[in-house]
Amino acid sequence: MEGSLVQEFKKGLWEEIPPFRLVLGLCPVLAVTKAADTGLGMGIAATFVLVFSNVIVSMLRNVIPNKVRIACYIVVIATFVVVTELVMQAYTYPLYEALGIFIPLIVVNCIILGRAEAFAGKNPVLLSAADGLGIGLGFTLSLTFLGSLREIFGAGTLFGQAVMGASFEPFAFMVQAPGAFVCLGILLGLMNIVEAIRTR
Amino acid sequence: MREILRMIVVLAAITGVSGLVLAGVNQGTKDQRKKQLLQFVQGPAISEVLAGSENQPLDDVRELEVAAAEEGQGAVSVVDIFPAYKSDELWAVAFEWTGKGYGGDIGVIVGIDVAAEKLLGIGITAHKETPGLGSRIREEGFRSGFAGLGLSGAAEVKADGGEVDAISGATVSSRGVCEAVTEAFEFYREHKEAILASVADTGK
Repeated sequence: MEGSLVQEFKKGLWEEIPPFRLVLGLCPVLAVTKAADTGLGMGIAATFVLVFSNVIVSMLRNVIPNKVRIACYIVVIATFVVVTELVMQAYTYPLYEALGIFIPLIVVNCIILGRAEAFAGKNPVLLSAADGLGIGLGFTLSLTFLGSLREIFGAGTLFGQAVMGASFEPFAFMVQAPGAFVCLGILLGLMNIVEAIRTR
Repeated sequence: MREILRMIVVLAAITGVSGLVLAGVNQGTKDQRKKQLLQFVQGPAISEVLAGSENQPLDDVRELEVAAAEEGQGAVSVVDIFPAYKSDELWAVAFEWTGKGYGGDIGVIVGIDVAAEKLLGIGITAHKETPGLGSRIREEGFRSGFAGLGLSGAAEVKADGGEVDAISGATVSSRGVCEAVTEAFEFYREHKEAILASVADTGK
């Protein structure tokens, strides 16, 4: 049991790291990674929703009738998303402003519904929590990393601090939408190369 | 039959509990959300509109209860009035009013010079206008067109016979702001005494 807990947690960090290996949830990945801090904020919000919806779905998995399970999952997920939205609005208003429409859109993030359907609906509570935490952390790391890259090259800063020196001319391209696709593509390619070397 | 009953009961129960949770969180974070809104959205606009005041309008806010006609008899709505004082005398008041824009409601802070009965200036708070077009209502160039308007009239864009330069490509947004300002004037004229009475005390 303990071994599998760790295993469920760890798989989200490399083997099934959401944007890169599962290639899921790309809408926020592309949209909110203009800077490292918005990426981190989005990741934390999604992780919160993911962990709690996984736990609740797992607790209710024997009660929820199979035919209406998706509707039930969505109600649970949407509830946690609205809770997150209200709490962010109350305590971290600038971040709430920066993320804008992408907070309510966590409801339709396929990672979260995907984990509820593929994992939490069939596994016990602790395992589901570990799964949610792992995947969520993987998602957060990916968003923060992608955000850092785009912020460093696109604005010459990291978490708002200048890191590239005064003579650095930022690539405006990197903070625009095409820059997100290019960055994501390069990272995906790199991860595939690393994975290929690792498993050879 | 039993199966469908179970589906209904479970789904209804989950939805009901969700509703309860959300109502609780909504209530619990209400004051804090209002504070954040004041600090990050209304605050900067009010400070700009009331620049030159010798007090802190944000701290001296008064709540004014007025009858809300459109919500039926006996209903009241609360308007926050932000007073500004100069040499211990009331100089100006500011409050927020909303108008219909292109993408939703536009929140407009109007600052009114009490003695001169003129508009000091406006600030935009919340809006959902198109970025790059309607969102330009936030720009100084557009907002400065409102400064100095007399309270007795209405704010209108030039196309409608008024004095305000509309933003090209964003007439609906420009009109939305004008509508908010005009209605704010009407509100001020109608409730002038109550407004002035609510802020008469300098709070010192």
